[in-house]
Amino acid sequence: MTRPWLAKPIFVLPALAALTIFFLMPSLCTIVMSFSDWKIGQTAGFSFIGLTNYRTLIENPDFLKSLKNTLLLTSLVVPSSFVLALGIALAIRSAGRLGTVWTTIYFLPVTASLVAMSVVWQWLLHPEVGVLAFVLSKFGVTAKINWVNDGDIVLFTLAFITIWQMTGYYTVLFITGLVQIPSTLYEVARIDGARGAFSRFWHVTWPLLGPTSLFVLIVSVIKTFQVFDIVKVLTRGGPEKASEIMLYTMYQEGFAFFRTGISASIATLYLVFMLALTFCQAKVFERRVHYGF
Amino acid sequence: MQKTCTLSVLKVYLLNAFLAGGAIVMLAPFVWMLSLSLKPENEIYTPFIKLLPEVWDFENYREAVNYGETGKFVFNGIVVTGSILLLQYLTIIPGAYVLARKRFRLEKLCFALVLAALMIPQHIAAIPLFMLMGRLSLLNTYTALILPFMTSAFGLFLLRQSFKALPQDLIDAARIDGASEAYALFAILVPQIFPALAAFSVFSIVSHWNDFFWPLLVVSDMELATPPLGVSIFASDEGGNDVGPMMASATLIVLPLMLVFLAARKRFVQGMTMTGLK
Repeated sequence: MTRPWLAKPIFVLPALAALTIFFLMPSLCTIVMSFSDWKIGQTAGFSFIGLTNYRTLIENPDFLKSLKNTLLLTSLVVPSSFVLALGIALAIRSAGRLGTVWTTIYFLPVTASLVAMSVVWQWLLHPEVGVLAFVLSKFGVTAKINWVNDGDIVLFTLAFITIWQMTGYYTVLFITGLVQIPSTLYEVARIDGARGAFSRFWHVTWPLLGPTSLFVLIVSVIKTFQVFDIVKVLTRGGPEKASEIMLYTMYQEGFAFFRTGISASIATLYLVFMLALTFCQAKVFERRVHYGF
Repeated sequence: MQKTCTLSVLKVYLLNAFLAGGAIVMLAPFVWMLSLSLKPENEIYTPFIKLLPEVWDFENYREAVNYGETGKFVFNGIVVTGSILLLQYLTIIPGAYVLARKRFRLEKLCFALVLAALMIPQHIAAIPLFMLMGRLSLLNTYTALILPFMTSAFGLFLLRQSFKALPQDLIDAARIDGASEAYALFAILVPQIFPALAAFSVFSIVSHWNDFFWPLLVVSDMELATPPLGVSIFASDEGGNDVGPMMASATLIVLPLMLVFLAARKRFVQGMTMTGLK
């Protein structure tokens, strides 16, 4: 019996056609467009201009700033949410009966629309009537700090909101990892002389949590690169582009300034980053599965 | 012995205190959102912070629905999210089944397409997809919000795994009494993969209810705004200074998913964390 080229076309084709038409082809188009001078709405022909768009980008201080901001945001968010999530996960595991309640509370921000919550954060952080200003004034800090409109502070504010939103997600990933560590190993470690909580963590938890940690690390980098909503709603990249990040620059170039080619080349660079990370993630995922985790 | 016992009790207390401190930060925005949404205007602009309003004012909610058109956003959100999920079921379930259980020559290629789509973030396809929608005169329609998401690479991947894990006997038995393959698939096999399907549904609902990027590109008509787009328009337009109604609107938009989460906590967490891949 020869195998057919395609089994049950009515079953598979809708899905594959939709993926190709709405996703793979457009993505390919983006890459091609990044080498052209095509502009949205342009009806006349366009020409391929090689790497010109990329050269323009690299020579543009605004883009470099956006790239720098993206990396800074990532370097602020990733380590802090990692440490916090791990700490919270370990605490929840030893917290007794209230563990589920804490997990639920910490996970709550993950479910909420960041656009809606940005509007709320705007009022929490309001320099005059915000809750934070009120709390700080109780501690004697009466200076009016403009959390969202001060160029030196705004990225830290965005980092904080991102950490607030995503830490619960990583906490749950860590808890899943912790649950899988066989309790007999702790028993063995105790017999071998690992008495304190710290030495148990160092000799058992940390090594066995390795794949989970790597996974959380990569996922958190990916998620931080995808930050967009809070920038669009809260700061619009401002003040003076102090909170402009890559995805927002891509959106601005493509849909506010209509420099399609430039926007497409930012998208392509973004894709290269994401592919590299996703590749690492897939490797880790394989290993997790391999370990039976 | 006595000493270690009190020590460990103390440790549990300390841990819970630490977690409670963090929980306050986690909950603060939600509490403040609710609090502001129930306060009349003169109680909002004060430098003194009171959790509970002195006068409980539901006027904000009425205004959010009447002027802020929040009812419309929520309705649009339900239409868009629901249609996407339905279309995804119809494309993903048969697709994943064939990819998992049938042998054919283009199998590797088909699966490679799914994996490729799984690795590419949504934002990359945005510009050409936007132009495609424009060419088809679909901008500012429900179709533009729904059609691009009619299938999901992640769903195909996840359900393919689940279908692969089913025993062949079950599939043979389903076919033996002459039922059509489509009937057997939906009536007998789908219930078997319910956990994966539920997890995927949660993932799909949450991502599309909260999606902001794509609606922002293809919809400028307030009539068609999805929840996040609606709130953002409301916040930047006339509502910008109507804090009370704006908070009421935000509450109405955040609440549905939160209630689902509290009702089906386990499935929800599962759905969101199984998606580490995307």
